[in-house]
Amino acid sequence: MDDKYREANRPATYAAANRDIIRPLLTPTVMWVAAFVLATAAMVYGGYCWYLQITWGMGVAGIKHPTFWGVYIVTFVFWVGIGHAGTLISAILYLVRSRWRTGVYRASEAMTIFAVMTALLFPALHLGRVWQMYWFFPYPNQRELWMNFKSPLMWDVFAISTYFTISSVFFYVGLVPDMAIVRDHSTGLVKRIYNILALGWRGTNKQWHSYMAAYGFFAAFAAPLVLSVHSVVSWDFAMSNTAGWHSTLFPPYFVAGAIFSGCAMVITLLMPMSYLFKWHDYVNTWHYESLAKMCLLTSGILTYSYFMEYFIAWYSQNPYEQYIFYWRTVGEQWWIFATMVVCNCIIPLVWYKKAWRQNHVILFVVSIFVNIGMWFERLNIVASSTSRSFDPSTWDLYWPTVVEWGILLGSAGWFSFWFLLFAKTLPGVAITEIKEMVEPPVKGSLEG
Amino acid sequence: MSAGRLSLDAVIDAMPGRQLPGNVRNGAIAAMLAGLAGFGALMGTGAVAWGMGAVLIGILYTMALAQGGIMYGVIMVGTEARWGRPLKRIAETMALFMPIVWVAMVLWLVATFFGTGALYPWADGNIVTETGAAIDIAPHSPAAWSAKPLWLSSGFFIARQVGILGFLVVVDMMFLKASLGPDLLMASQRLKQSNPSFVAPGWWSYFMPKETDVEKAAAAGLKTQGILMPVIGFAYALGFSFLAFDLLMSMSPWWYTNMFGGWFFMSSFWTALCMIGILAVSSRNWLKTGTYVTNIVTHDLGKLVLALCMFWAYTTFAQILPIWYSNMPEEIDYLLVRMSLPEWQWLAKLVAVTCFLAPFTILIGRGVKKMSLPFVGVLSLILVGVMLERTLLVMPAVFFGAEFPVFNFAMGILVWIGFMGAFVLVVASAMAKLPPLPLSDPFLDPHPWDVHVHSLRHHAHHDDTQSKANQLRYMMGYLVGGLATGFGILGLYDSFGWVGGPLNSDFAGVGFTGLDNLSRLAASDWSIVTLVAGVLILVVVNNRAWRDTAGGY
Repeated sequence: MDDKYREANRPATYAAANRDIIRPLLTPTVMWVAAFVLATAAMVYGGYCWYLQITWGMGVAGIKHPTFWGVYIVTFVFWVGIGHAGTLISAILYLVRSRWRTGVYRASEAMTIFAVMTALLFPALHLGRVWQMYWFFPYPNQRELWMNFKSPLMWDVFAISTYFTISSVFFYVGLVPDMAIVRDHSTGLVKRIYNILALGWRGTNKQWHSYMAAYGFFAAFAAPLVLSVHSVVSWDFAMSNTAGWHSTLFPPYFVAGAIFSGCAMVITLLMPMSYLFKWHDYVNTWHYESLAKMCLLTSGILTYSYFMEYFIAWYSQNPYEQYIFYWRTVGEQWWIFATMVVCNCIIPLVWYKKAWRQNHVILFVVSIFVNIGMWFERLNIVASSTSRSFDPSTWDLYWPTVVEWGILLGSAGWFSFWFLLFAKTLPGVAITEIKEMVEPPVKGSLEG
Repeated sequence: MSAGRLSLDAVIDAMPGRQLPGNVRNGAIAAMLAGLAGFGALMGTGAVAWGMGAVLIGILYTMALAQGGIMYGVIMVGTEARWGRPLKRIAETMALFMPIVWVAMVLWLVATFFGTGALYPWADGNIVTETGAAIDIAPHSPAAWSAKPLWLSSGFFIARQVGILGFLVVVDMMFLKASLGPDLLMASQRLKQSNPSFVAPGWWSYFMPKETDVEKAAAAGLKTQGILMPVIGFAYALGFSFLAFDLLMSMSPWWYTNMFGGWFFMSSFWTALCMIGILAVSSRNWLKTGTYVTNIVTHDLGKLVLALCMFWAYTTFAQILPIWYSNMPEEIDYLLVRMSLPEWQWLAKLVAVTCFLAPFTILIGRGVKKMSLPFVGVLSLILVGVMLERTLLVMPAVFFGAEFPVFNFAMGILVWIGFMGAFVLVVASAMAKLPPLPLSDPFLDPHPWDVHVHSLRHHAHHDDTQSKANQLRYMMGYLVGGLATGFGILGLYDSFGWVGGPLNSDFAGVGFTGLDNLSRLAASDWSIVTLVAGVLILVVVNNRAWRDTAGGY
């Protein structure tokens, strides 16, 4: 990346950073209201579909023998994956002192939290009898009944709840100085609310010292979670003996896929946000291009993983493994596999050309394709292996029903609902970190 | 160019006439002789498979170092990273061993497939073609490999290894030329300026660009490196994966795991990082690079080594867990042989300690990464650990005796030492002749945004503030503490058994009855003592080192 380009896009002053980033808060525009109404409508429709499922039972969903894991698990994995980029960008890129994270990490973190909140709906949806959700958690009981700790599904409960907790705390810790800035630029009730949220932040040396130590600590603490969460999700599949699922490569492959989809989603979300809020000084081509490079790397890892799965299935001479990979490619639902490969392996290649990964339209369109491709990747994994399991007499095809599609739409509405609320209530770009990129307002040079 | 770059003149001026230090040369030659003696002893005592296996380990190991060096440069270019640029040239220099690895591989393949025939059970053509299309996935079944006549046929196998390594050698040398050329141009201009009678050595002309303007040549060189970056990256990932599948995994032809390739190339890169650190730290006085190879750079490198140490543990665990959990005979036997048979189990434990438990607990601290000797100490521990790990992969596939062959093992280590001697001799000889830093690389300077905060002048010291003797004490403290912690943690694993005993009644006394027959074994006493002692040593050493190596997390 050309340094001159970065220089041209640096914010001019501290005051400009304050003004530009706080400006969109608490002032709903027509576009925002329209998006919010749309998201709420989708969420309500998803809720209605869930109501139908609770009333009539799981029969209204397309999951039936032999495919008991369908869209709910697919979408669960999809949203957990989306939730990965936030912590990667905020924690790991912080630890490696990557500068481009500054403009995008706040919104990415928010995206992470809302994506995990969305993902957490799906175990409940998939359970059917949602009122028995508490069985997931260990609680003291006289009959000494415990959930099955040996099940990877239980590992998921702990992995994701840990991830959600740490991500939320990390998100809030990062917000504290910015809350104080919003407080200092507001009046009345709003000032009082942000005063509480700012936890008494005054920006003293001592506070900054403690803050930086805490931030570094949380970053180091959160970084391994980026690997652990999706690895545990992948083990939901890999621990079984089912052909096409039992794969040692799954953990890093799932993590790479999660980062791939997460970074693409950051482009999808932040680009319109940046245009609407006129944040070009803070979120611009430099950030999108860097995200695109991350996507290129992770797309390469995914392509490698897809290839290795096929190669080892062939090499293994295990007929069940060979068949499932053959069927995924040329069976009745070959187009699921084809969509996955085209969207995840081929379309992102356009970003190898510098001019195209700096073109906003191409960036946005490709990021949408990546999101679609990654949902199809999970569908390709989840639905195929059980559709064509060991006993041919049990074979059947899976396809979602209207209720499942409705709940999928509702989950997007639920996610968007929270993200839109975030965009209007909290600073979407980290103001204090942006200021680190501004020339300090001092006379002369610190170099002396 | 910033004021800090003026110190590059001193680096360049020290280049002409620089020789490899005698002790390094003699040590490397002695190591090579020891390796030859070890190999001779193995072949002479009839341990042919072990001998050829030891050579395979040596080839794979030095191949990892050499190719990992180029990968370091590739990653620096791809990420536009500045922190690690001072190490880029040393890393690239390691790649000069790649052509030698290629020759060694060809010789080894010829010896294995046309001579000893000791390592690959499928290599006998009669077995492969005899049963044709029969498929039997049962472990140890002779029919299991008969279903792979195409992939595991000697001719195709040999062609793959030669082709993959050959391609890597070619692209590596292209990358090296693109990186080295502008620096030699800059060095020759500076040396002619300071000494008009200076004549550049003849071999410089092979690398030197036609462009005479250093900045333009550097920009062109970076562009070429940028173009080669994805090519080498993909070739490395795919090539090393297939080398791992072929050379290591196919020794047990019924066994397969699709992460094996990724696991191998990542641990190979990790090994290379350790070697880069050792070479950079130990050569900075000799090469006059102390202004650039500061303890801030080694601190960052140490963090990366720590990250890859965790990644090694993650990928190792992620590979073992599904196999153990599924417990399918065609998969689990590979692990059972290496982790449960008494003759190999101790080696598996040693690998766990030297590759993860000890380095992880040591590298968590800051001080170890900012002092020369302790840093070299922990990096060397990892290098030994990876050698043991490769031994654990290879030897149980070729040695089936009930008693662990201590003599063979010792001679195998000598062979590895021999390869390391050859590697050090070649790389250090090249380091004596090449510019030790990427002189013309604009990314050698700190980022303009950082200059007002962290000017190069403030970085311009590697300041081993501690004396050699003090550093030696630190190194011993770290190693003893880390190893004790590692063995203590591992000991806890062996401290509980399912043989009935007091623990069950202890738990029953407080209301838990689900732990039938769980018993604490006698080993736990020593484990707990070792663990506590190790942790205490590390706490004390880290506490002092924190004070002695102030600045930065």
